[in-house]
Amino acid sequence: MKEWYLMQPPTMFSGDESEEFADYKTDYFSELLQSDIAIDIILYNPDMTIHKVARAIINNKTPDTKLNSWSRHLLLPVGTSKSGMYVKYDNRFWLINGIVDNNTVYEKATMVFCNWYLSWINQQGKIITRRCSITSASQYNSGETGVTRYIVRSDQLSITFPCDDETLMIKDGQRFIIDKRCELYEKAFDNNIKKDTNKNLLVYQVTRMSNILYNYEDCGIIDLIASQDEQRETDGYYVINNNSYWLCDGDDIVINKNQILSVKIDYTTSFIYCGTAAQKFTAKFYNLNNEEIQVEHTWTVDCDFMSDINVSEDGDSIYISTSNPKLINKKINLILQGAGETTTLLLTIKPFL
Amino acid sequence: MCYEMGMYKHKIHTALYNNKNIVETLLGDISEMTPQEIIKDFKKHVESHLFVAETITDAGTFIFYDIEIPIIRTNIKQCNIILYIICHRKMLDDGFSIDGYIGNRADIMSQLVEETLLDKEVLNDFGIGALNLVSNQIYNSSRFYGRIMTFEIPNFR
Repeated sequence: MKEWYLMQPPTMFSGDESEEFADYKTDYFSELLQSDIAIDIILYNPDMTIHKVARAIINNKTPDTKLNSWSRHLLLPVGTSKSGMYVKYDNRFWLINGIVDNNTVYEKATMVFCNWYLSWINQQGKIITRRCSITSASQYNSGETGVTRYIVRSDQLSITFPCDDETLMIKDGQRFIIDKRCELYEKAFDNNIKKDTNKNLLVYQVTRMSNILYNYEDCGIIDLIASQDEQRETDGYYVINNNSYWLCDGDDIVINKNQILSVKIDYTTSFIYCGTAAQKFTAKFYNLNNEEIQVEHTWTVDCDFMSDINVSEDGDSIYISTSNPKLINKKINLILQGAGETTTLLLTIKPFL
Repeated sequence: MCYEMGMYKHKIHTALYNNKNIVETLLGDISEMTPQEIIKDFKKHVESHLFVAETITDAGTFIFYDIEIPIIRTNIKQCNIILYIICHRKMLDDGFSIDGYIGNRADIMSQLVEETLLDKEVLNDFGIGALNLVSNQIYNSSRFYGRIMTFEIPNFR
């Protein structure tokens, strides 16, 4: 019997390699993922509140046609992704639009490039944003249609979103601003501009929604057709709670003056002087016209020494004090929430001198 | 070794702030002021150093104080609290009075400060034993007049 290290590998296959394949197939793929042909990607859920980093192999990166350049094939360990997820790599976002399936070694997902970032107001008055892939649904349209009296704009776009609770509830008639000139207009705005409805914009209205064509049971994408609409007086740029949006009215959704423009905590100082009277912090909400409005809100005092500080509320204000010198230089996070908006203020307990 | 300096200042500041007579003597009528305004103004009139800026033009009353440790022995050190209680000359004899207290504004202030720091809830809060007033001298400059009070307290090194 030869020593094991002197044995040669078999020259004829015995036909019993299936066990070895079953045992090592995912390891082989994992090893590939550690090589240079794989890259790091980030997977996101539809509202981008959850993400995870993964290694993946991306195919179809060197396509031969413009249409193919919009899609990629993603190879991942089995069970990593789902249709409707966003994928980010090389500072671009992609949407997994096909059914994700596997061959027991790896799973494959097809994804399409997200070329736009859409904002709209939902039925509850909350601003929703989603990345989407927009392609033309009227390629050979001249851009005008009309009868004898007047000409109006004519264009149709196909918009693909991930399927989630917000995108499922988009109604027929929902209007969006889809115009790359928005980026140019924003560059010319200074920080004081809170609203501008004077720019020429391309506006589209949803005329057809399909939420079952790409329904993959527990995930999927939504495809809708939006036709070009005429711009309305209130379509434009809005700064709401320090974030800028390009928003339209819908037929039953109006950007009204009670829409929250900004929320802030009014205060004299963010220092709480140990051993003195309570410091007062007041909730302030402002609408589009910069008028103060009343909104139901909640305060949260976040620290790990609640038993050593005194907190009381009165109307729109909260009062915080302490007389414990051991808390000097400790911090408190004061959080104000109301109408879906949140703002925070970092407080410091200081010696009174 | 010098940890007490900051803590003593915090205790002195808080003790003076909690005496309503001292606050009213420094700030005047505070009935229309919010607690936050009182704190803000109080900090302008009570400072934890002895530098009296010549640029102060307000006809007001001020307290400046600091801590020194003139003697350090093997186990014990001596801490001194020095306070300048000063009024602008125009306000010194303007008829200011508080029931139960006699003297001009600076005299009344120094009595109030002595009572505050030697109050039973304050005087034992500093070092070994009780805070002790050891001298009360005169402060005299071109615009301000008042008292220089010195308290001493021993503490472990």
